[in-house]
Amino acid sequence: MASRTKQKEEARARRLAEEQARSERERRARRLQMLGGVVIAAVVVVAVAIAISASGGGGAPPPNSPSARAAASAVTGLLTGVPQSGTTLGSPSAKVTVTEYGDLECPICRDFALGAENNLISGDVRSGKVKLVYRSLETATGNGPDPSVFGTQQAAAYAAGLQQHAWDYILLFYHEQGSEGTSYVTPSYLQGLAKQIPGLGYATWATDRTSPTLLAQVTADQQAAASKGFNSTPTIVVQGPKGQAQPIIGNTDYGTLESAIKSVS
Amino acid sequence: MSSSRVRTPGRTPGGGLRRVMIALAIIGLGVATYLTYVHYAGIKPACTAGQSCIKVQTSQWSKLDGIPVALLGLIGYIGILATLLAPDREEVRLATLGLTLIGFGFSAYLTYRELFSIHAVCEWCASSAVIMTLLLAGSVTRYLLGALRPWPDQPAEDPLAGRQEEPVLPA
Repeated sequence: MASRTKQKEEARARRLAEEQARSERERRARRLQMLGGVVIAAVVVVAVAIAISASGGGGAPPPNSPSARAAASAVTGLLTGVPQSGTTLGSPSAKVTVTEYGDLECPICRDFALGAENNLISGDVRSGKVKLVYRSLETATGNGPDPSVFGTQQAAAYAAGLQQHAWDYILLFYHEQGSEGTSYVTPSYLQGLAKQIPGLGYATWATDRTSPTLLAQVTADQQAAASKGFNSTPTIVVQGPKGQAQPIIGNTDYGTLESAIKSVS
Repeated sequence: MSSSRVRTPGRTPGGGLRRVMIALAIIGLGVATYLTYVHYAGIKPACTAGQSCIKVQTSQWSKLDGIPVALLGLIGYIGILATLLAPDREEVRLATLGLTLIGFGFSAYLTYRELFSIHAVCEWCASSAVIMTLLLAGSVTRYLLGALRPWPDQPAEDPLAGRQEEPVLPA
């Protein structure tokens, strides 16, 4: 009798163990399925988000958008109190001149403007040690879908310079660049930049920007760059009482710029 | 048939980790809230790296189909925090894992864009990316801890309940 009971208990224990193992396998399989489903769903969501992000953009931010307003605020804050004359920023009596040959559509020029050049303006230019001059040199625009817009866009900045706001326009353009190689520089885009500059007479600017004199100035800048053998942007030339430093080609850091300034001071 | 409750001795697996993750999610929520405010206020974000932050915040990758990425991050952190504060269950931990995986994946993409397209790093965005990475590591750990150890307060099912016992043949 006792042996029979024991056999029953052993059989029951075996069945219990088998059922528990089966349940555990089923739970594990269900858990893996749920985990796999969540991972696949997450990957799909991220892939869709990346696809939307990569395909979107190309256009510049609308003039009244929060990002455009933030850019305008940053530019105004940087330049307030710094004298401007034409495309020259800073005191006319500054002993060192830093000349930037740039293309407003050039993203590397943008990197330079928002990096080392920003530090230069807030430090050396504001203190009167350096004056900054902008000259036009076509690079990125020429590789884009509409090279003929180069003169128009650069002249738009020069037109703002007739009202001592060239550098507002230049820096705002760099801040609000669209994607290189796209046709974002339209009359509407250029007008939108002008409207974001406090103190710029829009009607006067709109008339000035089509002036043949300003277009001729853009052409003259290009010829000057070519005569010096410059063909990349930005090209930065630093001149001072001790002569001219070796031109800096491409984006650079503020330390390198400072070294060049010290070498000619 | 009867079922009985099984109480696993000790604390909930990953309870301390959960508290750390809640703290991280709150910090991440703070960062996302600040960036969202900065975006809609049209002001420059506080930045120790010159113009890097505004360069990133005004780039074409700062929006997803017109929606500010900062706002999406804010919503994401709220979702993650909600799952961390919800009653601890396997499905909830899986939801945390899913949300942090999405957050990590998109943060990694945006960091790539910062480094190789924009050529500038926004320290706020970098902070959020680090937080999201830590949250993902934490959510994976919590999920695995829950999978390896029995969940507390789960009813113990008797797989043989209701079945007739098989007759044992005489020896």
